[in-house]
Amino acid sequence: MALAAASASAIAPAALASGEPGSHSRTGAAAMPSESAQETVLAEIQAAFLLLSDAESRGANVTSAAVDLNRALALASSGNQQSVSEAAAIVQGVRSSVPSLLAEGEAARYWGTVGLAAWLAALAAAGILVYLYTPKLVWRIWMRSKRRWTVSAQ
Amino acid sequence: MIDEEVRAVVLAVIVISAALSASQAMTAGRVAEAFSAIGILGPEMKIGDHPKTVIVGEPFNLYVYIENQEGRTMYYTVLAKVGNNSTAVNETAPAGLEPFAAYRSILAHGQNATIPVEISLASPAQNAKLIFELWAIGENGAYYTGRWNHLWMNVTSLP
Repeated sequence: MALAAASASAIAPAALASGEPGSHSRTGAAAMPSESAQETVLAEIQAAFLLLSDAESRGANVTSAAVDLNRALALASSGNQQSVSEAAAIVQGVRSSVPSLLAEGEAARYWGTVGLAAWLAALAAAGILVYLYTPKLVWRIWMRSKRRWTVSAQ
Repeated sequence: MIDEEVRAVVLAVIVISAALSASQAMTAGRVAEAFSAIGILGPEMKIGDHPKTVIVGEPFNLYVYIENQEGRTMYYTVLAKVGNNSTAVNETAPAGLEPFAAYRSILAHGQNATIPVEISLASPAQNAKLIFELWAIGENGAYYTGRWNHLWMNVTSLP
């Protein structure tokens, strides 16, 4: 497999917004949704994706929602009316889950910060205790381990 | 004398542990080198078994593999275009051709997708350049990621 590599540049071709899914996804004409219905759902998916991106940048875990949105994308591209309607319902679900994802993300970030602060405070406290008590402890252990020694002076 | 040495050693261990813990916590989840990848697999989902010659109007199968290692969720669109040996495409500029198909996928960081595609080419050509460009959706619309694959093939008409 050839893997390409490089940086990014800009400009959107019209095809990106057109919703044309490619020949492989076309089905029978009777079940085809209108172009506008499919385009509407694709636009909704894009808007929902941008909401998820924003939530992710604010600490939310959006992996599960992204999987749902990808399923909606496959349904919207698959071509029939029922799939497009199902895709629209999934997108709606994803959009409505964003506030709770944001809340979870903010809570996770808060508790992560609290945990880090607690860990650093514990280390600082350990440093103080070590400074105060280590010599006493070391000498006590040393005395205990050498208590059978006899000392003679000449 | 030994009291000071013991204190210094143990305190040094604690300070180093604190610094390591803090740096680990602050860099956790960050991606050192963000990238997206695209690859084209042949009809058997293998590397290098791409068709060299196809017949006009007769569909053939390929697989488009995309992978997200950007450190965030991405919305990719792969645009398929047909050009020839004078069609330029590189890391900074996509081919100046109208796409004949678009394949979309939303991937969380670390995920990949293998998309089956069925293509049929409408007119005969020698050294046709079948191009797959990887685009992504951002806040300011779609942008070319600078990654693409292309296949060379001859498109022959039925005898």
